[in-house]
Amino acid sequence: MADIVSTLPDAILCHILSFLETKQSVATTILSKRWKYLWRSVPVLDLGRSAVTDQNAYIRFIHFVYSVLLFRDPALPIQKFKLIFGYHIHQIVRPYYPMDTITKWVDFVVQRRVEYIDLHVDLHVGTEYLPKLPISILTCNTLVVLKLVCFNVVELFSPVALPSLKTLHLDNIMFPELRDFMLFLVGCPILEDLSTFDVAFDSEESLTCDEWKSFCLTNLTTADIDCYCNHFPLKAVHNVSSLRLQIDQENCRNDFIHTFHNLTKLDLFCSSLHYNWKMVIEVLKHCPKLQKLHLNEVELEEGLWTRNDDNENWVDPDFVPQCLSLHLRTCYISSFFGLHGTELMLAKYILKNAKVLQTMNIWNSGQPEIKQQLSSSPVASATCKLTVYYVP
Amino acid sequence: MAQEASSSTSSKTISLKTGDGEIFEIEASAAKQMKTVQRLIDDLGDDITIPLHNVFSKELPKIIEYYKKDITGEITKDFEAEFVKDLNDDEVKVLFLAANYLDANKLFEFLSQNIADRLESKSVEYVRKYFGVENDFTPEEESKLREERAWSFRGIKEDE
Repeated sequence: MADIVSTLPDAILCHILSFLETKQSVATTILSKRWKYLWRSVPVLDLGRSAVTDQNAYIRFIHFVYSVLLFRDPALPIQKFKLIFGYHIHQIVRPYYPMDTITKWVDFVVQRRVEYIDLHVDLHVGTEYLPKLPISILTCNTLVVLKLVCFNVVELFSPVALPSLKTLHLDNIMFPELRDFMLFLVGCPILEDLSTFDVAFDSEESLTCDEWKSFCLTNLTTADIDCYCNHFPLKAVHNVSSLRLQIDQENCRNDFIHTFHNLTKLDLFCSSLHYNWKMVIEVLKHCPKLQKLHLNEVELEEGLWTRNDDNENWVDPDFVPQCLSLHLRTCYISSFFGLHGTELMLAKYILKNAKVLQTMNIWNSGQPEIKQQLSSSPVASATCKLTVYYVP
Repeated sequence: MAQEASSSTSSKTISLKTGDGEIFEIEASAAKQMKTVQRLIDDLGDDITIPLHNVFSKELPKIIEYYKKDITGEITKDFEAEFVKDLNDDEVKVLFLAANYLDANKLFEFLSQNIADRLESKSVEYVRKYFGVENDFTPEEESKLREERAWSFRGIKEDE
């Protein structure tokens, strides 16, 4: 066995090393003479989670990274650059300011035709001050996957151009205006997978420009959008087949929900099904081909929501959403507070009208009588299987 | 043991013969995912039994199981976790070498990741044993290298 493995060519051993963090792949230099320089041909710079607690540790770390960059095979491109870097802003003083160094590394890998960047710089000072995003990323024409956490995108002087980008995940990113975020998306014409969480703008401004009214990411198939914190123009993602959405009634402005012609799978998160049932119905009306629906109640803002059993009364919608009549096969409901008033009516409404429903699963706390109540209400689909799970 | 041939007339099955003489059936669409097999089919035709000298009856069924799931689009993270759960390090190596020989890209990538996962944070001796590597450095050479790349060796445990 050992003999066979040792006949594997260098390229295959390097391929395995490319799945390890750089720290460990460099360590293989001492395995044997054959392995001494193999790490230099690994096209990946994965610095993993590097947290430094003082200036000395930081200096050792940057010394290591610079030596890897210098000694690696210069003819090889760098395919992947990953760094999750944490430090307290007061621990490291100029001239060793980390963002200056990290920006240089990013510029270096962009020049070496990088395809995958995963970058997270945590300054441990909350969101008042986010590090500046290295702008060379925004015009990297080889980039296919971009994942960014905790950055401030400053005023852009030249257009964003990411012609190869297929996957974009943004978490805790600040833009000057919503318009700058739209310009970012315009620069990603072949985007297939978009995820936004806590994307904020220095100035709140509604989209009034006509040029944005028809903007759509036409190649997008999957989106995970957080509308709860900030306005997001859902029209831009209306071509997707799979959507995860965090949203509340308050976030919905006029003409907010567009028709999602290709949507077959929807994961909807809201703070309370009781108060948002009208929005849920509106959403269902705009997803004509929906096959799989998951409704989740989550505590989006701590302490915000208090149960108030008045005011919200169920009213049967004026017409049955097309997806219920023709396509919905699976429905999951995860209820934080239990199904009482309108959300119970919603579950019953779905059961009553979903003609091809195969599976209805409900997760809720308490309420042993729920299963009985739902089992005894009318069900459109003879093959529907109803399961109720109790979450303590 | 030979697996049951597909009963559907629309999907063709290919016969594969392992290095130790056993015959297995695989759907033509799954065989396509293994470039070496496809090349042999192109050269020899799809009616004869394709010989695979370097793959044996212990590992071929597992590979066929993987690609059966692949052609129906059912490969999920859960399936992959289950697939390698009971395999020991040597068994994974054997599968990996077979996937390399068969030029079966998807399985090859998945097993590369799995091998890396098994080696993560392990000691230098452990990695040497895994790859069957003889240490041909002198103690002086080794300690010099450790010093040059000191940051790499911080926090990595060594075997006793």
